Amino acid sequence: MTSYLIGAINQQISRGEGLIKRIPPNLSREFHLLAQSCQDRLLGANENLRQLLTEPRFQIERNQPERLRMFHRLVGEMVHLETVGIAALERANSSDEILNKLVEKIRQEIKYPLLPPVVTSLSQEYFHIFPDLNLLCVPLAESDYLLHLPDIYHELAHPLATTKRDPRIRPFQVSLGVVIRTAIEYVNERHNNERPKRGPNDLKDIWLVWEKCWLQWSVEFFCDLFGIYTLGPAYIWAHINLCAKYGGRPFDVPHYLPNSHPADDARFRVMVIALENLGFSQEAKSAAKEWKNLLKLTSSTPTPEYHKCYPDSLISHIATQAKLGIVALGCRIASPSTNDFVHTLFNEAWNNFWKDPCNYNDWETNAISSLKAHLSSNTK
Amino acid sequence: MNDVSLYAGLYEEIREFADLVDEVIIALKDDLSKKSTKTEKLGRQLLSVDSAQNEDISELFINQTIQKKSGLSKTKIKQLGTTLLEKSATLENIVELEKLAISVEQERVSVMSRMRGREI
Repeated sequence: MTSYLIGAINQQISRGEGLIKRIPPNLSREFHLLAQSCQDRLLGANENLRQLLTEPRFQIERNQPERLRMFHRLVGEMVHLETVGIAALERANSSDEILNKLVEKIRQEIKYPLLPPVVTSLSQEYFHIFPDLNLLCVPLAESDYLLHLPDIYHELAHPLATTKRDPRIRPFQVSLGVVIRTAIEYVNERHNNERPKRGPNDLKDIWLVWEKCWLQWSVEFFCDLFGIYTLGPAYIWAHINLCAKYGGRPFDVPHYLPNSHPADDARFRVMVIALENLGFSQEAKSAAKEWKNLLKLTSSTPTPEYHKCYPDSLISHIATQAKLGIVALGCRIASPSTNDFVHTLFNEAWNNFWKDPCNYNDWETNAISSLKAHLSSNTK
Repeated sequence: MNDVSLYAGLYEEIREFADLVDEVIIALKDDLSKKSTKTEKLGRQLLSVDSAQNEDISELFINQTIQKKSGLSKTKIKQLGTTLLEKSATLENIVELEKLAISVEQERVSVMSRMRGREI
C-alpha cells in the first residue's frame, strides 16, 4: 500500500495543478471570487498532499491508517472542486450572466445580509447551493421561465443556517436553535410517554428516527419560511408546482431511516401560517384550496404517525420563530404592499398563471424578455 | 427537494472534524502526554457533545454524528474529552479515538455522496 500511496498522491498533485490551469482567464466579475476560492483550495490541497508524501510522521507504519484517511479527504476535496467549482467556471455562459444579475437584484431587494452567491445553470438536481463555494446551481433552462425561480429564495437561506460565527446572521441561527430544541424535546417527551405501553417496537422506535431528523427538517422549514417571509405567495405556489410536477408522498414520515426533508404537507402547513401572518389571507386560502385538490387527485391521506410527527403546535411554533429570526436579520419582509421589481414580477407570474393558464406561456415569454432587458440596462 | 444544499452546508464541518481526530491520534501515538492545541480543541469538543444551548447547526450535526455513529456512550465520549484536556490519555483512549475516526470518516463519505445527489 505504501508504493500505491506514493504513486496515487503524486498523481493527485498533478491533477490539482491541471485543475488550476483550467480556470479560464477571462471570467466575468461575478465569477472572480469563485475562481479565487477554487485556486486557493486546490493549492492548499496540493500542499497537504505533499506533506503526506514527505513529512516523517507519515512515513511511520503505525500512522498509515490516518494517512490513508487524510488522503481520502483530500481526494474528496479535489473531486468537489473539480465537479462543482471548476466545472462552473469552465462552462460559464450568457444564461449565467442573467441569473447572476437576477440574484444580485433579489439580494438588494430583500436586504440579504451575505454576499450574493455566484449562479451557474449546470444543475442536474433542481435548485441547490454549495455554501462553501457560495455557488448556486439552477437547471439549464431556468433563466427562460419564471414559475420555479422563487426557489432561489429557499437556497439563499441555506448559508444563513450553516455559515459559522458570522454575527450578522446570528439571530436566524438563534431562532433555528430554539426550534430544534423544542422539536427534540417534543419527540423525547412523546417517546418516553409511549415507551412503557404495549405495542410493536416499530411504533416506539419511530420516535428515535424522528429525533435524528429534526435537525435537518428544521433547516428546511426555515429555508421555506425565508422564501415566504421575503417573497410572499409566489413561494407557496412554487412549492405546490414542484410537488404537483414531480409527485411524491405528501404525508410521508420516515419509519426506519432518517430523511432530510420534512413531509411536503407539513411544509405547506407552515407556509400557510406564515402567509397569514403577513396579511396574505386570501392567497393562503387559494393555495390551500389548490393543495387540497392535489391531495385528492393523488389519493393522499395522512396516517396517524403523520399527525404525531408534525403536530399543529410545533408547526405554528416554527412559523413564529422563523419570522423572529428573519426580521432580526434586517431583511425586507414581504407584505401585500411590497412593490419591488423582482418581488412583483414573481408574484405577478403566478397571478397570471392562475388567471389564464392557457395563455400564460405568451405572457411569460414577454415577461422574461422584459426582465432580461431590465437586468441588462440596470447593471451596465 | 434534494439533499445537496443541506449536506453541502455541513460537509466542511465534518471534514475538519475528521482531520482533527486523525491529527490527535497521530500526536498521541507519538507521545501520550503531548501538549497540543489540537488535542485541547478535540477535548473541548467531545466534552460539549450534549450541550443543549449550542446554536451552531454544524456543531449540532457533528455532535449528533459523534453520539449516533461512534458506538461510544455519551459518558464515554465526555470522559474521553476530559482525558484529552488533562493530557492523561492511555492506549485504550487511542483505540476509542480510532473507532471515532472510522465512524466519522464513514459519515463524511455518506455526506459527500448526498451532496453529490446520491443516496447512501
